[in-house]
Amino acid sequence: MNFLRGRIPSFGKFAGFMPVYVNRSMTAFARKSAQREPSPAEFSGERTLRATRYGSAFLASAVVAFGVHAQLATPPAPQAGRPALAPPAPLAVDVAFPMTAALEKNQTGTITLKIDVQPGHYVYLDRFEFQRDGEAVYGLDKKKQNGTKPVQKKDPQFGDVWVYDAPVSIQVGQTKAKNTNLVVMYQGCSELAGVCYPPTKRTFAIKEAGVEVAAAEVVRPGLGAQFKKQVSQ
Amino acid sequence: MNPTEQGASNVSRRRALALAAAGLGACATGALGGYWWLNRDERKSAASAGELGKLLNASFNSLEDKPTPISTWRGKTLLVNFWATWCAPCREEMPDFVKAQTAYAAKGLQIIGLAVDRKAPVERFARELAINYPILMADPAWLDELKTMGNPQGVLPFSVVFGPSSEVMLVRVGKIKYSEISTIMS
Repeated sequence: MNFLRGRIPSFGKFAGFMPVYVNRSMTAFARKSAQREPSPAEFSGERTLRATRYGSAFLASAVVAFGVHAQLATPPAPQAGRPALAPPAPLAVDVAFPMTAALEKNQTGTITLKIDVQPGHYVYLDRFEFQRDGEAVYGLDKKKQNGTKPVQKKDPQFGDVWVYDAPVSIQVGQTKAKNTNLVVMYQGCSELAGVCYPPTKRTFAIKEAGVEVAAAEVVRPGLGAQFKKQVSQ
Repeated sequence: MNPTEQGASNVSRRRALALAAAGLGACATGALGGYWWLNRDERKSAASAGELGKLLNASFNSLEDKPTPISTWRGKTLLVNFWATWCAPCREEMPDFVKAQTAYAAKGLQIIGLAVDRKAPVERFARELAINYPILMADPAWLDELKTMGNPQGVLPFSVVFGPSSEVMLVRVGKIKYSEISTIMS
């Protein structure tokens, strides 16, 4: 049991604590058993019942003892480098920013991208880039944007930046083609977890109007191709 | 006591012993279960320590394109920090790293910045901040490697602190506070 010492903060206490319970329960059991000569009938029924009772009491005391220990041991002694209140683990990028793309049915050929930005997360407007059928479309311009308006965020590092921090529906160009490949590159962060996601690329194969399409592939783009606008620099 | 009674008594004693044994068994299971639960975080680090070892054996190019193995700093308390200029929380914690490098260099702290970025903005930011520890360039493929190193989403910032004997002292997805570095170094 020595290997446990020092690994459970109060294991020493715990190791000393348990035998007391064990001894007491066992002694009490032995003393009571020896106190009187049981009748033959008791051997088969009552004594078994008594043994069961003591066994249960013993188990209960063990559970309580461990519970008390667990309470004493929680929270464990502060560990080097562990903050008192750790932020939540980051979500997967596709959970934080689920996306679908659709060619609108209204004959205008507009492609709408829906991003269900999760609470406590945001995507940078200036880091969006789009390609349709292999050709760059344009980044999102906050002035020309027809969809949901981005919000301005005061970032101590980047100054005033425009972000989407809630579910958005944005229009990313028009096409007459029925079969269109839309590539979306974006970058976002989780304020909740205090982390940023690397630049991410998602491709949508649009085949008919009015159908929302999920991303078809998951590829991390080369960084050189990503930050033409170099917002962060 | 006749033989039948004695036999019954023996059966009963055996039952009681069996119950006591079951009790002890439950205790042991509970204790081990508790131990398992209380140490779940340590276990997580321990499980990925093997993967994290890759970092110690890796080599990264310096800003002058010179291959620099991490083993250069063997024997130091190493804080290896993956960062990028496009990552706001990364930039936020770096002034603390500069401060800590100055304060704890004599105690054997060596911070290494691994930039998952392009070189030009990295050089600019390193100059702006007067970074006093080595900045090396990490290929973006490392973001996928990190997924097996306690950073399943491959996000930044991400830091690992190795002790002087290469033991993993801390794995952090997100920022590290100055006070945490102080605790490690004291």
